[in-house]
This record gives sequence, structure tokens and C-alpha cells, in this order.
Amino acid sequence: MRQAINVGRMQMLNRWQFVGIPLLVLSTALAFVIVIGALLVPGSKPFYTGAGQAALWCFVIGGVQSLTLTFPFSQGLSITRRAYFIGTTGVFALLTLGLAILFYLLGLVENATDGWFVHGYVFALPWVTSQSWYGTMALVWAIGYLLFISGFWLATLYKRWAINGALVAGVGIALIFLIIAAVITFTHNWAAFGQWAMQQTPLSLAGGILVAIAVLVGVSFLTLRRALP
Amino acid sequence: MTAPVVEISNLMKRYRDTSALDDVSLTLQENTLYGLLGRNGAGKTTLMSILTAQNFETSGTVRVFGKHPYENASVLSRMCFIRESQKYPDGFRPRHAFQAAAMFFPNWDQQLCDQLIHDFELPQDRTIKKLSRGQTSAVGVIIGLASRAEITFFDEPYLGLDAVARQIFYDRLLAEYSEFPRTIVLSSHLIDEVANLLEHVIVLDHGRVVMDADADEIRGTAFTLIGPGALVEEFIGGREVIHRETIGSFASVTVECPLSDLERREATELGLDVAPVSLQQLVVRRTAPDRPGRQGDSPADRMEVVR
Repeated sequence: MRQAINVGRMQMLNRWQFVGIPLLVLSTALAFVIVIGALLVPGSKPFYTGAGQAALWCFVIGGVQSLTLTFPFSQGLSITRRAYFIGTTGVFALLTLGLAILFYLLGLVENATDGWFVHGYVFALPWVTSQSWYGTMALVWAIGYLLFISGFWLATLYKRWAINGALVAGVGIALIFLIIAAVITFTHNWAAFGQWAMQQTPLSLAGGILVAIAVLVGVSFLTLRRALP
Repeated sequence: MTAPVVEISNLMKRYRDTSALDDVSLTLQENTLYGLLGRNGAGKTTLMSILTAQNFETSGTVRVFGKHPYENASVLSRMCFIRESQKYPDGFRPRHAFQAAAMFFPNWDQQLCDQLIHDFELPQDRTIKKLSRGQTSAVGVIIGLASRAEITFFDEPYLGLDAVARQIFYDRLLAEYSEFPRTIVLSSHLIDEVANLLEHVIVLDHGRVVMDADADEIRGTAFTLIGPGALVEEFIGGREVIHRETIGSFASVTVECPLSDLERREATELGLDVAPVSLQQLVVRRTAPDRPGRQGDSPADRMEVVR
């Protein structure tokens, strides 16, 4: 456990990488929205943008970078693969949680200032904030972590089986989606699927993503267990 | 009294069509300075990787401090192996790497680390990626020395280091070793440079152990006889020849077999020159592709062919 916590600290030794850059991306995206709102969008009708997702995507890169070079380094420091895995996935769970809280808080500011005084909305998006504060945070956290663990698994696959591993996994996942779509088509259930999708809340979607995260965390660990630095 | 810290028997490591390690059996004692010698691709790094659970054996037994090292924190934390091509996280400066090492090595000595940074004149304000080859090696050397791990592996640590820096490394290594004894495995192909440091020599060739002996024993085991071909051949008799060169009627033959004082005098009386063989020459003779009997399957077979 002590080792795993130290792995988390090691991942954070260079804070610019995993904290500075997402924050920079987030504030740049926000600045763009404000400039656009002030200069290009006339009137007082609110406009909503998905610019906030830019910061979430940073976590795909974070997932890749936390493995590619840091895993070999951790091996040089005689760290078990288990401790490396728990420390790395743990510290990113906290980082994405931090981003989720920030997202929620900026959403409050956004509402209070009527979209940064220019009616531009990045964080307080209609459906995302429709339920409860924890529903919003859970959804943002889940998306952020899903992106992180996807990047992490992809990099682990590459480390273990080079390009073939990543290709097989990519094709495999595409096949799973294809089969699901085919089943829905052949059973004429697209309408029912649409209905079901419409009924989802931020919290229930977060729950669904959490299942996917759990699966990816599991397969990432199994992939890493025999990976070479 | 020394105790074994590493015990390996019948270790095999196979890649698809080649074997990197072939039936390796070795024992490493505590508080001994080992030289792990051999050509590039002989299996040195693979062996050290398996001992630190960075790589996996195909078959055979590996015991470090009595246990298998894989996922075994109590064993791993007592070892340090910074590989020759060690990767460091993106954006890491040397100080980040040392801070990380300080977290994981229980015996880490920060004072020594600072001293070594000064000795190697390591720039601290640049990312490791931007350092020169020699400076990158210095980062690994500093981690290896300052970790004070009970088993420390140095994998070609001198790559890119200039002569002064290499001497600093050798001096520091010896000073550290005598003050805080531990098991050190120095993997190297600059044999002459490290020969005097080593207490025990292990030579790998094509994944096999071709030499595993105390340095003192090895020093007297081979000699070169130079003189008229016929006389040289007569003197050698049935001894094991590991190298033979002829220039006209003169021959220079390296023989592996200790020479008694009487034999030595006899050779001199015959008008033959007897020259000592350095560790480097011995290793070269033992692992060179043109070695007589090279096609044999095991060291024992090779000797048979020679005889």
C-alpha cells in the first residue's frame, strides 16, 4: 500500500504534465467561448458548447503517458507491477475527481454570471446538470476516467504485444459494438433502444460507464501483469 | 562468511526461434563484486532483467533472497537495476528521478546522491531527454550507487561517460563497496577497465555460462607461449588450446591450464616466451566466433573437439 501511494506521488512529481496541461486546455477553451460570445454571438439567448470536453480528452493522453515511460521507470525502481497499477489508476481517479468538482463549481459560476456575462455555457449544460450535483460530478468523473483508462489500456497493449495487441483489441471492441447493433436491428428494437436511451439520467449513464471502467481496469491489470518495460 | 543471495538453476529464456539464456545455473554470494561479461547479445541484460522480475524466464528456477522476485515487494525493494537504455518519464529532470528513487529505496542516501551530482557535473535544470548519452548514464549510475540496494546491477554503466567520469564511477563504486558492502553485478564489455575491480567473473556467451570463477583463480589459468612452432607444439602437448596464431615458423599459442614453476622454467630453457593472459584476452578467446571447436553444443563439448 505504501508503495502504491508512492507511485501516485511519483506520477505527480512533474505536476505540469497531468495537472497543468488539462487546466491550461480548460482555461483556453473557456477563453475561446467567452471571446466568441462577446464578439460573434449577438443577442441575449444562451448558447451551449461542448468546449469543456477538451480537458477531458487530455486524460486519454494522460493514460498513455502515465504508462509508456513511467512504467519502465517504475520497473527500474524495483516497484511491483501491482503497486504501480494501483498507484497510477488511483491517482488518476483522484485527478479526474478534481476535474469533476471543478466542472461542477465552474457550472455554478456560469449560472451566477449568466454564462460569463456573454451567455456562453460550457459547464452548466442542460441535460448534464439536470439532475443533482452528484449526478453531474459522477458523469464528468466517469467520462474522464473512461478516457484515462482507455488510453492506459491501449498503451499497455502496445507495450505488451506492440501494434498487434492494439489492433486486435480495437477490432475486438468494434466487433462487440457491431454485434450489439446487429442484435438490436434483427430484433427490431431500435425504437425501444431510443426510448430507453431517452430515459437515461446523468447518474444512470455514469453507472453504465462505471461498468465499462470496471471491465477496462480489470483487463488493463491482466495485460500489465506480464508486460515488459 | 558469505551467504547466497541469488540462486539460479537451469534457467532458460527463449524467444520465438532463439534462446537468450540457455541452461544457466549460477549462485551469487552476498557482499561480492561480480563482473558479468560477454559480447553484446550474450544475454547479460536478459539475465539481470529476469533476476529483477522485469522479464520472465521460460523455465528453470530463480531465487533471490530465497524467493521468486516476481511481484514480491520484499525481495524487489532490496534490488536496484537501472538498465543501460533506461527510460524516464516525459518531462522528468534528474531531480525528479532522484526524488522518485528516494521514495522507493529504503537505504537511499541523499548526501551521496548530491555529492555524485556534483562529481559528475550533472546539469539539474534540463529534462533527462535533453541530456547527453553520458549524462543520462550518470543519472543511472547515481541511482544505482545512492540506492545502496543489497543487490545492485550496473548495466554497461559507462556508456558515453568520458574517461574522467568513468574513473569517478570506479573510485566511488569501490569506496561505497568497502564502506557499505553489498552484492554488485557490473555488466560490462570494457573488460580491461573493470578487471581489477572484480572479485568474481561470470562470462556469458550466446546465453550460456562459459566462465564462472573467482578473479584470482582466473588470473593464473592461462598463458601464451611464443616461439618456434615445433617447439611450442611439443611443449603444449595435450593442453587445452584456446587460441593459435602462426607467423611463418613462429607460433603464438594461448593455452588454458595453470603452469607450475618447473614448467615455466622448462619453457624458458627451451627458448619460449611465456606471457600472461589478461582477463580481456581470455574472455575474447573464449567467446570469439573463430574459436576452435566453436560449433560444439556446450563448453564441455567444445573442449572435446579441441582435444
